[in-house]
Amino acid sequence: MSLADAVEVAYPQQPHVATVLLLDTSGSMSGEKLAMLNEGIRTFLDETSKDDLAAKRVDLCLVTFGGEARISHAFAPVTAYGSMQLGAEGATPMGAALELGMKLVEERKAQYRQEGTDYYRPWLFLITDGEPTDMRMGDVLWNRVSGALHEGIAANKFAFFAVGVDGANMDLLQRLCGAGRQPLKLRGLAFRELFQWLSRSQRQVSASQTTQKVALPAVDWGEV
Amino acid sequence: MEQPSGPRVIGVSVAGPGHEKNGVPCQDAYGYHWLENGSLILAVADGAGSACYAHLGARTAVEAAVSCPPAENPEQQVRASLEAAHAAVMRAATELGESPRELATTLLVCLWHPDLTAVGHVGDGAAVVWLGEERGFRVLAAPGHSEYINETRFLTDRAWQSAIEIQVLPEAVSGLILMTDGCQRAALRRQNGAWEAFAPFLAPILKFAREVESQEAGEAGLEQLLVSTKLAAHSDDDKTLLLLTLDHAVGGNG
Repeated sequence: MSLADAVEVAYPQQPHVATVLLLDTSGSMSGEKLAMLNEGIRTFLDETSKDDLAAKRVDLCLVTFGGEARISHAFAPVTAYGSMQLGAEGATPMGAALELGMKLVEERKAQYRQEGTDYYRPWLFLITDGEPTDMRMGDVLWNRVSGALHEGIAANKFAFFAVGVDGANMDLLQRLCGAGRQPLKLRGLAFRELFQWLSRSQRQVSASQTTQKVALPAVDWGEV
Repeated sequence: MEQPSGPRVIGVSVAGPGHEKNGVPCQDAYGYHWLENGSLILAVADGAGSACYAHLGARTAVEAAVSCPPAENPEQQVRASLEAAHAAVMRAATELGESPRELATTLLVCLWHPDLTAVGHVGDGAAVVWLGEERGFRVLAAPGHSEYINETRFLTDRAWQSAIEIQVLPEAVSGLILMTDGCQRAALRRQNGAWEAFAPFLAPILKFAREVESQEAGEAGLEQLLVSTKLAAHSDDDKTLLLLTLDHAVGGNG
């Protein structure tokens, strides 16, 4: 028996990067925007699947908010996603989606710790074409959500990215991001480029071993 | 100084499959040196993936650590080794005209004596001792504290001294295993935040090291393990194992 056969490894699974995409699927996203979003997600899944390391490490969860905020696809490797077609309708419960996203991230990390899976800092990635209909700046939900977001970012609990599409309220997104971070505006409907960037970024994080800061690829899909 | 008969040291570093693919050299290093008084200094180091001269940083750190002159007591010895390694890496950076960050490396130094084992540590990687059949394995140096897998401290950090962890075990051990982080997720388990040795990984390796007929055969066997599909699939990283065994039983009577 070779030594390789004789040993067992304590943690056969690779370290994970939990990624939650918070996707605006409110009524205003219907039509071409939705088609481009769906295509972009497909691009992300395909490109990430092709990378050996990222395919084993990226742990993806989709949350949609259109009418209600819900988990559209629970945490799973990108290779486990079948064909995904999101629909769009209803109002924009962005506050609920953000709370759900932050909760999912903490729960996932707790699960990793319990299983003994190593992990990278998780990603919360928000894409919206409007503004929340379930909260207004300064109201109770807003204060709770933005407080938790800012605290989470400051405490390094997750990395947060906010992308505004088309008629999104960038000012509001800036308030959510807090000082020192900037929301990004998607150039036209360059969802494909956005998701290609996201895939490259995730692949870079997946491959990073001992760097404190991962230098992300240049943003070619947005305007600051 | 010739290795006294009895104790045997077997060490191996291999480049991870990811590094091989990208033509990056192995950025791990190991070394050891027998002292006049029968003690042994061992060291393993893991250069930072993002550092251009990581392999040089790791090698420089290890060589300086194990050639450090003896100090008055074990704790001072490991501390002096870490200081010597830090100074050597900083000098190497200056000579190259590079920022020390380009030679960033972790470092784990161990001083073994028949009655005592001391470790000094900056960054990840681990040292495990074997206390015999009844007491089993114990983690002596654990990977540094950080929540996220891709964050660790380096010998070249400005605040590196605050990352130093030193442990002294004032008793005899029957075996010692040092590793860089490429093996730590195979060899260790985390239970409620505390690290424990994983015997199903370590025991066959120690048994092999004790029974193999020569140091060369031992190194060949270990190398085969570290490049095996099982370990390559488990971790993309460079991998190093450095073992000390005190009693061989060639022929499997151990």
